[in-house]
Amino acid sequence: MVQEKFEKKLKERKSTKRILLVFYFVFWSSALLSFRLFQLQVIDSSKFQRLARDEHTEKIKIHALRGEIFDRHGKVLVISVPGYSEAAFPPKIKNKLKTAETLASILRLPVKSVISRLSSTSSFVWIRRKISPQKVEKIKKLSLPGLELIRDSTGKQIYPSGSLACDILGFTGIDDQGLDGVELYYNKILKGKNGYIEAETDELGRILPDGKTKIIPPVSGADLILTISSRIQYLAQEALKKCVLSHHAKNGSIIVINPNNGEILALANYPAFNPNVYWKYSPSVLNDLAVSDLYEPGSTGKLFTAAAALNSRKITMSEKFLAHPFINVDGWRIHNAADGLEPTKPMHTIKRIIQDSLNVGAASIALKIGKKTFYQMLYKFGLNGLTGIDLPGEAYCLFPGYKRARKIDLATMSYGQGIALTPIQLARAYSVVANGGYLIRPHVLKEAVFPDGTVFKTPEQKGQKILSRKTDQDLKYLFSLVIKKGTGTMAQMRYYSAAGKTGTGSIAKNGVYLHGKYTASFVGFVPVKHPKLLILVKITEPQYPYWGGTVAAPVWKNLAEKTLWYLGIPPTKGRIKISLNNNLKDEAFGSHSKFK
Amino acid sequence: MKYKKPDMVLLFLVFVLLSVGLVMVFSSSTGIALAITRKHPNPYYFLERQALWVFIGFGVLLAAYHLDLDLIKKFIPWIYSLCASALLLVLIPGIGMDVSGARRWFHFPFFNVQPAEFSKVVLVLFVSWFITRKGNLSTSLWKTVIPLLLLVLPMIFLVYKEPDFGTAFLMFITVMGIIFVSGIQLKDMAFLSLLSLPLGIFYMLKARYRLKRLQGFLNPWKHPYTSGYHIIQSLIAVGSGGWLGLGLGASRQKFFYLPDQHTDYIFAILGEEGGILATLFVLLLFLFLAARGMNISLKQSDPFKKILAAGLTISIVSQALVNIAMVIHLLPPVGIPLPFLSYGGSSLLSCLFMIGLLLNLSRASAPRKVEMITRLESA
Repeated sequence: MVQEKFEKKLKERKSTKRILLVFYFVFWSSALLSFRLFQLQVIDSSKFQRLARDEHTEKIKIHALRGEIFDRHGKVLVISVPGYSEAAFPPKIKNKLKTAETLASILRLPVKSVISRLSSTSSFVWIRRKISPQKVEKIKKLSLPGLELIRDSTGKQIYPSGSLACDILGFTGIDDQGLDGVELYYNKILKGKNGYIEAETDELGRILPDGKTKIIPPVSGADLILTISSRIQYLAQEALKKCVLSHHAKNGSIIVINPNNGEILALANYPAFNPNVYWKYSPSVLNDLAVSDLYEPGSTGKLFTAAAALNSRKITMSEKFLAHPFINVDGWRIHNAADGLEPTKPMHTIKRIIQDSLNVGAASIALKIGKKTFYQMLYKFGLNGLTGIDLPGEAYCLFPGYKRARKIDLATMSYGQGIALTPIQLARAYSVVANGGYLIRPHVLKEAVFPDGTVFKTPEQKGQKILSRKTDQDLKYLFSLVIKKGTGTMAQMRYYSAAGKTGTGSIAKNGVYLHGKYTASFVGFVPVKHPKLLILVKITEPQYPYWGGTVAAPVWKNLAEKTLWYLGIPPTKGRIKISLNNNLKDEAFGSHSKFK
Repeated sequence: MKYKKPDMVLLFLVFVLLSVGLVMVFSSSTGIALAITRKHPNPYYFLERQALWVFIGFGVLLAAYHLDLDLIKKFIPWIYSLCASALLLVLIPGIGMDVSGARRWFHFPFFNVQPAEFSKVVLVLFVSWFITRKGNLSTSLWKTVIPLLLLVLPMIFLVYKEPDFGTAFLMFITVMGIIFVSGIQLKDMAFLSLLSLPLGIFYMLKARYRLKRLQGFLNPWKHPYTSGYHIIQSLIAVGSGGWLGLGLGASRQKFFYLPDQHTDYIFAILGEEGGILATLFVLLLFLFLAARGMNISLKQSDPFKKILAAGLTISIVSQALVNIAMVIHLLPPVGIPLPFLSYGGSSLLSCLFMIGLLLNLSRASAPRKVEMITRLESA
């Protein structure tokens, strides 16, 4: 009995110990859980809060308004159409009925539907999107709590001048995406930064009743001010159109550039397109030929030969070359071109060769100065790279590599065959001559004005000096002879001394030069002494007579004259009677011109 | 039997827990309540039901409080058989209600009953009775423990078959806890543990989805949308609470990011809305509850009552600890509710019944000091 009782006591004591043990276990488990809670809720709390925020917030995009584009005089070329949407934050609205009635009357919506939206449990609702401008003005005057007028973008760009400067401006696709021209090249700064409405949602993306909402307004894109002048652009486009149509040519390009700083005043291609309805045109029309079309320049390419020869001092201005009607190089026979004038003397200097565009003479010079000198000059002119113009799609110049080039290649390149470049590259090369030997960068952007007021200006860069002063003056003289009494007499102006070069390049297809198909071009600058203007006219495949001097030179003269008048550049030769002034103006702009 | 005052501290603790529970059930369930009562939106849907269960629960508590345990003791084998047959019945198609592949509920008009929840109470009663059936604590491995396990395991297996792994797991823990408390020799305990180890491994490897779940538990961030989703969402909820929480009702995770937000994962929403302040408070409440329960157990002179009190305490507290550990990614998600806080009638009723029994025991305990005082007073 005693034994039993003792055993019972012992067992009881044991179980008491065990109960306490279990409690200790519970206690330490709780301590472990507390540590874990401390770790989660205090130490790592910010990490989980960030995760939670990422998971709970949904962003509703507000499209930024795209920047607009202006010409150098401030005339608008591209308009971005803003859109307005009325947003409401129901929890913040006190007097729902009154708010709904006011909104409904302005927006012409049924009051019931507005009330139902305002009494939504969501923290954010759209009342109306794409509100017309008149209604926007009225809504702006309201100052009701919990409403917000949000400026969005309709994603629509309007080109009010139609095809004017189409190749420079380019166009935009849906989603405000620049697809060509400046719209593409400067897309990044034009498109701005989208804003958004941040709202807390449930797992299914529905906006939470008492969720936090935040509006981050969009930042509009920068407005661009281009170097082009819409008036000169208009003149260029009209002149080009007239010329291409009258000569039944395939297409054509005109570049008007300020040779001193590379500002492009006009850049036109024909056929042109209307950026408002760009999708109606074939890709070949949309292509910006002036920067992307490689062609063999023909005699305008003699610039490189003359520059190389004179700058290296391997020939002098008075050095004489034999005036053969042809020479043989590597078994090929090189003739003088039909547009060049026939040599009249047995010997002639470089003056005659440039003035009368003699291929044989150019080839002789090139062969004399040698491959190395010639190529050095090509590289100096930057033909192994791009001009860096701020337009998309610029093509690289094509010519035989230095090591591969044979004598015949050198001979043909001396008069602009067997080398292909783009109009903008050639225009830049002639600009070097015009501005005293500096390799400028052609560009179309003058300024970018950001919405916060900061202005980015294209820096004025003179560029590298690649021609000596002497060479430059000699070249100016040579090219002025072309207009004075050479192949380019049709470009002669009455009141301005000009310098330029004609070119009639053969067009090759599949390695064979096509019969009767040429690129007629004229490139020149004016006035000779202090050039203000460089114009390149290039007409592809005009019908006979297809010479650069007959097709392109008259267009050049016409355009140069009008542009000079427009820019108000004083005449450099001849005498003007005051009475002539009006007649000339009429001549320049037409009697019904709107620029009168 | 002398009638003493019941343990009012325990009652108060339960009262506080229930209050927190009602608030949290309401806060965490508004979104889902609106979603399921789309025709007649009623954000109070779950609160109303839970309040009703609390009300009924107090009735159950009172009933348990007034039960004559010495009388009940005689019927325990019968009650146990009854409960086991209920668990068997619920598995039979047509009788048990099928909810997405699980048969856990008897369907009655207006409410459903989950027999597994009540079987927890019955199990504690049965084990306590079996160990002390000869009027004394019997802890012999072959005479008591093995026969006991052979009797108890089929019932746990039935619960597991519903399938309700969480509850079955807890029942097993409770049984082992009671056996431990009753004073089993440690070498026998070790023997039992060694026996259950290969069983556990076999269980894990048997089904592929369990292995996947285990992978999700070990590295939830690798499977954020599949097996790790529940864990990550739970951690985000708890972790984003910080010191003081987002504020009552301000939980974001409750809007369908965190599943079971008002039932098994209510502690996560508590952590999100109340921060570490609230979570530690609730944890402390359970710790106090454990202390009071153990205290009641220690004061019992009758072995059956002593073991019963300890068993009931272990049952409630282990459930709370496992639930919290699961929410904060210390245990794999097993799917058990948090006592007094989670939405759900059966769980609440069984918990309150257990508290009723504990209060009953606390009143019948033999606080010698009090006796002395009363004697002194009467003198």
